[in-house]
Amino acid sequence: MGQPPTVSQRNVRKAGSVNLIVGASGGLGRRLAEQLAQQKQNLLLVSSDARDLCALATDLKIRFEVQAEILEANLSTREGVDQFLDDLKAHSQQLNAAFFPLGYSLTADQMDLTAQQIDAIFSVNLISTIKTVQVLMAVSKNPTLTLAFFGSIAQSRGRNGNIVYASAKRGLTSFFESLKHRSFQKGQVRPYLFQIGYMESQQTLGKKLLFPVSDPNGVAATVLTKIKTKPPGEFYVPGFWRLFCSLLRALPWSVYSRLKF
Amino acid sequence: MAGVLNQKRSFDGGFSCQSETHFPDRYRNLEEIFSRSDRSYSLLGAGLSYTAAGFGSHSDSVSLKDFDRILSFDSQAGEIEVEAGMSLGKLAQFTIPRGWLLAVQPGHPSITVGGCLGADVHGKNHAKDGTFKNQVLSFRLFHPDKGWITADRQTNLSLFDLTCGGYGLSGVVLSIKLRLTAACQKVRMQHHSLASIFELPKVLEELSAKSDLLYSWHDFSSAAKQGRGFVIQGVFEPNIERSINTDPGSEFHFQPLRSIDRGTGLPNVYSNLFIKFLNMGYGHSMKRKIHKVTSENLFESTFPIAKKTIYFDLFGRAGFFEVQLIVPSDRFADFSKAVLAYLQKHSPVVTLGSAKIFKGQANFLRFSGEGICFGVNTPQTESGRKLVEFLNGLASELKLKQNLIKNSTLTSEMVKSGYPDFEAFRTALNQWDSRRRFRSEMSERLAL
Repeated sequence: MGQPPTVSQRNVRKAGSVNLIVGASGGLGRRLAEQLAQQKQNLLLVSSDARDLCALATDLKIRFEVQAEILEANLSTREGVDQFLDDLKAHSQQLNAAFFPLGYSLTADQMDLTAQQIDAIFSVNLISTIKTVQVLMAVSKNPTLTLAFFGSIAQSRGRNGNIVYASAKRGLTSFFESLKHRSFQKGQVRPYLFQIGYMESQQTLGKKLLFPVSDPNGVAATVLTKIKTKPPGEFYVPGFWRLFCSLLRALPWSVYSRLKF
Repeated sequence: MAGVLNQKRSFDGGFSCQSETHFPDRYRNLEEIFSRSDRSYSLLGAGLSYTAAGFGSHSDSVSLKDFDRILSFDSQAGEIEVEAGMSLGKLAQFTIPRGWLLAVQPGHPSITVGGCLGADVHGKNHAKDGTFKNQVLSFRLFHPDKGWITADRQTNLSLFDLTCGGYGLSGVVLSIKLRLTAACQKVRMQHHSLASIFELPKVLEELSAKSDLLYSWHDFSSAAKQGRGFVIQGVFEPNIERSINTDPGSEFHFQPLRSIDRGTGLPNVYSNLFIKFLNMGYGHSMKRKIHKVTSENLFESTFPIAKKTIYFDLFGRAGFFEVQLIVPSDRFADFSKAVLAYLQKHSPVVTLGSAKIFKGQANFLRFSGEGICFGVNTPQTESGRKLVEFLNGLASELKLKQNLIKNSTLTSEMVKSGYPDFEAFRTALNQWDSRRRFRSEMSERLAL
């Protein structure tokens, strides 16, 4: 394997604006990176394992002739997030958009988690994103910085499963709403929230699910099209999940409490 | 990391079972999967091996489909390093527009680079290019008990030798550095007629040095036709210009191929009558090309079955047999006589007969050597089974090498007769990995 590309502020600046992808090494993040690179967009890729990042960045640079820099970051701990933010400050002034296709969940998430695991789920799914956005808004000179958050249908109504994960994702929805309200009044950012339905991942592998599972490539294409063609807002991908989640929320408690899913 | 329990089937339909498959998409996942010391593993590429080389009842399969990235590319030297899950089609889409080609490739673009290394496959002109091993400069392998290892012809040579053509039994090859050859945009194709199969060695010998692609097609719909057919010769047209076309469009289009879907819902449609009609039509279309030079797209001539996958579907769910073996040129006439005599007497359905010329030597279980590489397909029917039994017997009697990944009916005794290094391979494998962490149905059937 080739040497990891080093993080270089000079290189990123030289190439002009950059798209930040936090959680880029697999799944939706990787597909977003590939499709942005295909559109000749430069990238700053963030993930917890430099080996995956290095392979992805090298591949995109060779195939699409774009700039692709990497930042290894452990976003599951406070120290890791702080370190990441320090590293990020060197890059953020040139950002065109920031994508947060992060998702960290555990199968034991039915009130059986340790305190450390709960911290990690909140840190990856919510706190790291809020802190990152705050840094970006403070240092970015881009007056129309696009921010793309990725929620989950799990947050639409709490249930006995993915308890902490859904709480964190619900928090993300609230954060998005606040940003949207703020940007309506003050501008500066263009926030998008994509509530993702079932999507092929290590979590859905082999599970018998009620609804079709989306291909991350298709989801990435939808996300990029929405950002290009629609004003900021909340979107469900695929779209039918909006109706499903609305129905789920509208169910009387006497019915909902009996559902097992 | 959880896997998924799913049904798997060898491409020829000869073996199927349920087993767990893991789909790691990160290096960390991969190491985690192999951290279970109580399990053995099979490595699954595209799953298009005719035999069950990528799975088995007693092992978990690990798919490397997400490890499909380019790790380095030297456009001057023509060297590329890719992850093992990269398909030949994806690789060709990148290299051909840049003026480079992998010289040795099997027939379908879905096949992965890792699979090619594991089976040490051959291409369309073995006499000129050798096997896949000849294109491999180095690789990086992960073994759960030994960690990450790089091997090439200087470092870890014995591992290099054991792994190229080692059927995925020595560890997980994660990345491979390959030597490329100069490509062209078009291939000049010529067709040469053969009055009978007995003319084949001479024609192949004459053409091999001046061809980039060379293989034959034979009509075995009736023994009376004496295996007449055609030799198809391709020569790369010199490049007029080497321009990078990164928008390949439909040039690289192909029909997908999956073992589990092949022939779904279909019965076997091949019969002697149907094959007679098919061969008559194909023969006429080929005759029109005799003495004419046609120009073909490089991608299509490299992957001749990329748009002809229906051929495999028409065997139906039951599937087919393939026997592919290397017959020394001086014994090819006797071999052909024996085959034709069998066809004369029993009239089995032979859907395809094809051959290539092989040159060179090989140790261990690599399907390589000197002679005519001859292959036939027949449906999985009783008469087909008897034809395969006859060919297996003939191969054992003549001590011919059979292609292990093509024939699901092979036993260790049959393989031993054709491969003098059978025991040496087994010993080397056990010395390298005494716990034998990597197994498949094929390795168990052959007692490797």
